[in-house]
Amino acid sequence: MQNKTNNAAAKGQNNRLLYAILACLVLIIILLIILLLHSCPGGDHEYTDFDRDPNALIGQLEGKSPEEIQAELDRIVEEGMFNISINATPVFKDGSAKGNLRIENIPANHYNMKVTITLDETGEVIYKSGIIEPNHHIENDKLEIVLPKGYHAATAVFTAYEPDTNELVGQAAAKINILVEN
Amino acid sequence: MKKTLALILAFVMCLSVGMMAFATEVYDEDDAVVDSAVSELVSAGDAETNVDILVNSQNISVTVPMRYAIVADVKGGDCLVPTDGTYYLQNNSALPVKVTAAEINGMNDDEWTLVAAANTGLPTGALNELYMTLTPEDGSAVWNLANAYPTGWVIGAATTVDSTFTPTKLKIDIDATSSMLNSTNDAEDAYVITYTFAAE
Repeated sequence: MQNKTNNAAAKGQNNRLLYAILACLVLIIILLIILLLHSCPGGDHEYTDFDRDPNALIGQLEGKSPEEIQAELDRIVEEGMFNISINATPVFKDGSAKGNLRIENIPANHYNMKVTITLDETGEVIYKSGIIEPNHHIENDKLEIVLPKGYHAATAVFTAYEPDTNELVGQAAAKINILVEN
Repeated sequence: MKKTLALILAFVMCLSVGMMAFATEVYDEDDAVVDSAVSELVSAGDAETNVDILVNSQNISVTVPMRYAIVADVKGGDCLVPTDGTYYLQNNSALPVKVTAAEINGMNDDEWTLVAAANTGLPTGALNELYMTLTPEDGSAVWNLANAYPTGWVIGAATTVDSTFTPTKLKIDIDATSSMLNSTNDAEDAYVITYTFAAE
């Protein structure tokens, strides 16, 4: 009986000690959290004149020098050069025959091209090519409309497209004189 | 029999050398023998030279820059532009070509306004104004992009000397000045310039 009473007292003492240690640990953790919050940027820490700015990042500002920007501007022009080429006077035996249009997308071009020919007098579209890739050409082709005998002033518009996205890049045009012989 | 055969052979031999022996030589005025392969008119008559005409049609072949970019500062002033001589129109044709038209179209960004002269310095009301000119280095008329193309730009024919092909370039200097900006958005394809060429 005496032993049982002693054991219970010892157990109670151990529990109290354990609670005390736990309480101390919780207190320490709370203190640490408060300290951390105060030391973090954006906290309630009041900066002095000589505190390090928390927004300052390591290294120099990213950006290009004027020389690098200039080189980039020049590169854009050089890469955008586009050649157009078509017979200045294509000849057709008659209005429904093939004529020597001689449209060329040279190998040095970076873009696909499409060619549309319209009559200057009426604005009527008389020819539309499909996509012509670089290093391809159309030697002869028919017009979409049968033209009468004679000379016909027309404008060939070349449209450049990005090969990967088919995005329109730009246009250039050439005046031509179409000759229908019969 | 032998006599007959000898007679025939002698006759054949006479015939074979007779052509050369009795050939007539033709002499010119200096008594030089004229090559028998060349015919010469001794007296008045007709001689013919046939002339063939082969029809050729030339291509217009021109290289055009599809894109250029400038850098405008948000505070306005002179813009950074491509180096002089970088922007050019190149004639690869055997015939001279002229720029018959040049248009500004397809303006995909209405934040910018092309003006005949940009207001620099502190804004007086207008913002995002751009004054831009294209000046041919050959002395042709300057194109203020706020106005119509002035016409008269001509590019000489390409040349071939000793099998060396040399295209002709019309170098064009770009100048641009902007007013102060109220936007820092980049404007891709702000303007599209379309040139039209024709054989001169």
